[in-house]
Amino acid sequence: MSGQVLVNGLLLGGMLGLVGLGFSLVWGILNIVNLTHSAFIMLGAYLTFYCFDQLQLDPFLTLPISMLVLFVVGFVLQSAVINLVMRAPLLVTFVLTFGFETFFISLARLLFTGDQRAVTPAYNAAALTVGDTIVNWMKLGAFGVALALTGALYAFMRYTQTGNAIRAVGMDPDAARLMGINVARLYALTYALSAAVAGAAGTLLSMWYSFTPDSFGIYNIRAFAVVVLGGLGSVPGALIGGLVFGLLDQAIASGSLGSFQLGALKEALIFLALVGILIVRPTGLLGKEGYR
Amino acid sequence: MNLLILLAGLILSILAAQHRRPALNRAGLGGLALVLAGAPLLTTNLLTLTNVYLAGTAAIGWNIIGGFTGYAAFGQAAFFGLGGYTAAVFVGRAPGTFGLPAPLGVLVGGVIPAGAAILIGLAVLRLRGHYFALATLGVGIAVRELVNNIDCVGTPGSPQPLFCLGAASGIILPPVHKADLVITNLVLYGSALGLLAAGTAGLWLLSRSKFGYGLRAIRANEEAAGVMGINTTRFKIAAFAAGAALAGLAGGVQALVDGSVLPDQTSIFDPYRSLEVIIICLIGGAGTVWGPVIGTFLLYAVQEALTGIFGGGDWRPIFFGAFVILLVLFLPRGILQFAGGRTPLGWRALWRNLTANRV
Repeated sequence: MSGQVLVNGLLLGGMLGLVGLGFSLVWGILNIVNLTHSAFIMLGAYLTFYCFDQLQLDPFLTLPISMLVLFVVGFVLQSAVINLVMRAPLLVTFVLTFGFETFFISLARLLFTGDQRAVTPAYNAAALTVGDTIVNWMKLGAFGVALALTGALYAFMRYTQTGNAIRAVGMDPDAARLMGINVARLYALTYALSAAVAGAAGTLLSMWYSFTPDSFGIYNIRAFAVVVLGGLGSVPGALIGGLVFGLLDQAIASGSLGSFQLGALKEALIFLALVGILIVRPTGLLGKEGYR
Repeated sequence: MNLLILLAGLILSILAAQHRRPALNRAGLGGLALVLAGAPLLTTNLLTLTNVYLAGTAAIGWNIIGGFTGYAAFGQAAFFGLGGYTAAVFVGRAPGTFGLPAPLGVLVGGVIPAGAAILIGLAVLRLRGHYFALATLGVGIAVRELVNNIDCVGTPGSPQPLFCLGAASGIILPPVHKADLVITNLVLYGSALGLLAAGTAGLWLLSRSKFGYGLRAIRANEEAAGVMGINTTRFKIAAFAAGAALAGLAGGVQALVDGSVLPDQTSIFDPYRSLEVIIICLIGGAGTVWGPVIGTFLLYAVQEALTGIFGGGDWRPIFFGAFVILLVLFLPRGILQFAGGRTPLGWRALWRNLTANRV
């Protein structure tokens, strides 16, 4: 593996880890496979685009804005609607979050149009060159943000009373209620945190690729993959899963078997590997039961 | 006109589901047969209805594993696509395809996905809940990507390929009837309707058979079912394979309808189909005989009505999303919950549905 592939893989992996982080949180605590996740990422990306386009605001400075807005959206969505189906079977929450996904994405198509958008700050192409390896500063910055947010969420879950309460709800909501925890409110808080992290991922991804409202559906599947690789219910696991996915992705994309380019079969190989991991270790490479 | 046919289908299939009232049941069945068989005389756009029935057939397949057995499979699109590609390889005329008659191609298009489902099921049916759902989703993507990237498969050393899938260019299928488009459309409509009817009849037989009771026992409590002497592994794999076979048959006919199979996402491997079959079963009533048919008519009637109101425009998917959200919130057990006559449909019942599962 050349240095460039390694660097590309790690940088991509940091972003994928951030994409998977909120997804893993909601899945681990609320036991919901949240298909609305990619719509939150999309909203973060469009917020960043309009702040940049209309107010000339630096995308990195938009991070708190998109996180705050998405936090509110997530909190309202969970308290008003999703809390109604928390005890329903898996399929119900799955289809419900799919409904919200369709709703948000098609609303975005109407409001933001289907035009290709891109956020291009002046430093977009600036890069650090080490030997023959090129490291884009913007991507390095995004990687730093991903690490910082993962660390912050980890610290929050570990060392604050609210974080501990969230973990308790994830382990056993009924027991948590008996301990005096307001389960419904903590579900809303957890979902809001997940949406906020997704918003941050959207802000960063808006600089990475150009996009339309339909570009983001793929991130649900990638978040799935990250969670399986890293293990459900682990904050550092999401980051590690993301890094593994990123490295795997870049390594396969640049590899070949004789004259055959492996890149064409990238998705197939990654998902076959995932299914293999699931069957051998259903809780992921690092995961244990429950949220840590 | 299609909207009227779909609405008539919806009402008549709800009547047909009234197995406790023989008169209504018979009237519904007779009416349904009459309307659907007579539809070619009433509509100018027969292919739309053909596509509706094929979606319904795939949903019936999902109902066996997802509804009766309670295993939330998210890979039905893969079996649908696999069936389509199999039929294309057997029916196509290009080098590397076999040029056999279309009915044979469709039949084999049911067998290959069933075989694939047995192999996949041996691995993934050991998982449960979210993990099973995830694994089927992963397998679904992997199957699609594999099929879409294979050009020709041959034996080493022989210049003649065993078969070709065409990679990026897909496979073109010959028309069912060379000269006459009307006959082609009628044959395809009849095949799709036949599959839907046979699938529903199959579900009816299943619901009364020992196999069907076994599947429902697995859904209720898998350990208990095992203790009662049900070979749960074999039952689950059989259910998974039967569901895949139905999806594959529907996919085979779909390939003939489309005239080609292509690797892009809006063609035979459209990943939305995996979700669509679930939505159909959920709004009709998962694990019931008539649920998939009712759900199909309801879903497509709503979509047809939305297209009528908003055209093909941007508002349509917004209302579709809102419709799915409201249905899941107010009718999580499908509309058959109210059609059986036990629960009267009213604000109170809807409110109970809405609040039954809250935290």
